[in-house]
Amino acid sequence: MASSGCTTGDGAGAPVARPPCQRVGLPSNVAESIRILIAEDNALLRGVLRDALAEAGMTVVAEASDGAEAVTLAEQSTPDVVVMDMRMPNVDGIEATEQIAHASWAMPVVVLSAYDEPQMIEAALAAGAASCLKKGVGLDELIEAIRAAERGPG
Amino acid sequence: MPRDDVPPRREEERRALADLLHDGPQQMMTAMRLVADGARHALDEGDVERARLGIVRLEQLAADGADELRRICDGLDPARAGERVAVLGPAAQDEVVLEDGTALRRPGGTPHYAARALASAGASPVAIETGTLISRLRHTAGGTEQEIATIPEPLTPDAARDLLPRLEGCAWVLLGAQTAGDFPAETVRLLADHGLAVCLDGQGLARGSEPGPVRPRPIDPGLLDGVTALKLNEQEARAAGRPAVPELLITRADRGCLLVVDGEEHEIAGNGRRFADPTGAGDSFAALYCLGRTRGLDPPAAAAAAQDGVQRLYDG
Repeated sequence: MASSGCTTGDGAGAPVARPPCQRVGLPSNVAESIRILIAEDNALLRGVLRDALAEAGMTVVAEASDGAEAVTLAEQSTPDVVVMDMRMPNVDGIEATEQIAHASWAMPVVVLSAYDEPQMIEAALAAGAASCLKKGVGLDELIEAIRAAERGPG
Repeated sequence: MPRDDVPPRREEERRALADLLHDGPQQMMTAMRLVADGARHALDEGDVERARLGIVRLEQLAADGADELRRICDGLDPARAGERVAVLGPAAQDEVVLEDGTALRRPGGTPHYAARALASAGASPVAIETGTLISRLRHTAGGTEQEIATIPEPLTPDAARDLLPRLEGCAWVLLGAQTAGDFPAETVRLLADHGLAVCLDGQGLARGSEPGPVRPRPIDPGLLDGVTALKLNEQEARAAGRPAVPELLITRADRGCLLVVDGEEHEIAGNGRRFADPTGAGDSFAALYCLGRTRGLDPPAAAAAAQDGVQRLYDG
């Protein structure tokens, strides 16, 4: 599950080569092997998620800036877990989650939602999300949700 | 008030405000929480340097967030509540290929991009899609190649007359023509006679009105009667020359634009940073120019504000 580096897109979707993701200062047993795809249309938040998860010992293998790109990159890069924004252009996070969760190459999806309505969270879970967190969630909770998703329901 | 009873105009404003808060401050706050947690982790581990870097990033995020909120508050100022800019044009289903070969499919068209730009500047867009066009765009180092698959229906004078109540309070209307037939001369004249300053995105006029590869061509002067401002890109301007309109804008992406007002040229500088994906930049520029003119700026100041706004949107 090793990765030589991150492939990412900027805010407009153009791929930009980035240096290999670095693990910084965390114990070696902390989620070191979990490979992540980040799907988030906001370039600022995508960058912060990338750095935060890399510092937590995870490997960000790909980044997508919309739902359609997320589905394509999920199939190509086969991450262990997808961290998915709910509201994105083209194909939104719910639809992308549904496609990923029901594909033959399915993988767990952790959805980040800016919405507070229970029906939106229910929609994410009904689409097949492993969990749905509200944006503004703490880093510890996000990491735990990713670990739990990677471990699976069992 | 039940949601179904919200007047359409207020509904548009609510949606624009919700989008602004979602896309700006909410993302910023989410990012700040994650960075703050990361800095706390670093302190817990005794990694003072990483904690310090986190705090520096927090300071920058807080400053950027304050700027964003200030822009939004400016836009909500009742003194500026009249800043409605109308945008009419076909919606587009764009299949986009970037310089590096990346293929994307996305909704496009002037109403889509112009509304986003206007909302980001705190204005209230009145964006109305008048038809649908399917096109394929390929961005290369030498420019953008476009092929039109389907032609939208023209906005007839009768259809435009029906839209007039929705344009109430707008001083400027941006017409985002995708092809030469989208806005017949009679329609443009009707809008101008109604007291609206018409800004025409000339991309459609320079394209003709048949499906197939876009080949810029001269613009029929008869389509410009009643037009106050005409926006062209460099490729279109080479084919169209300098049509006689009061305010002519020739955009040059990151290199700025040339404004010609009553024959006098004004160079508006850009910052020189290439846009990774310029799709919609021209629509955004034209919309922000209309906003600047609505705010009482003279043409050079409005063009400079539009250039600055587009770069802020497209620098990523």
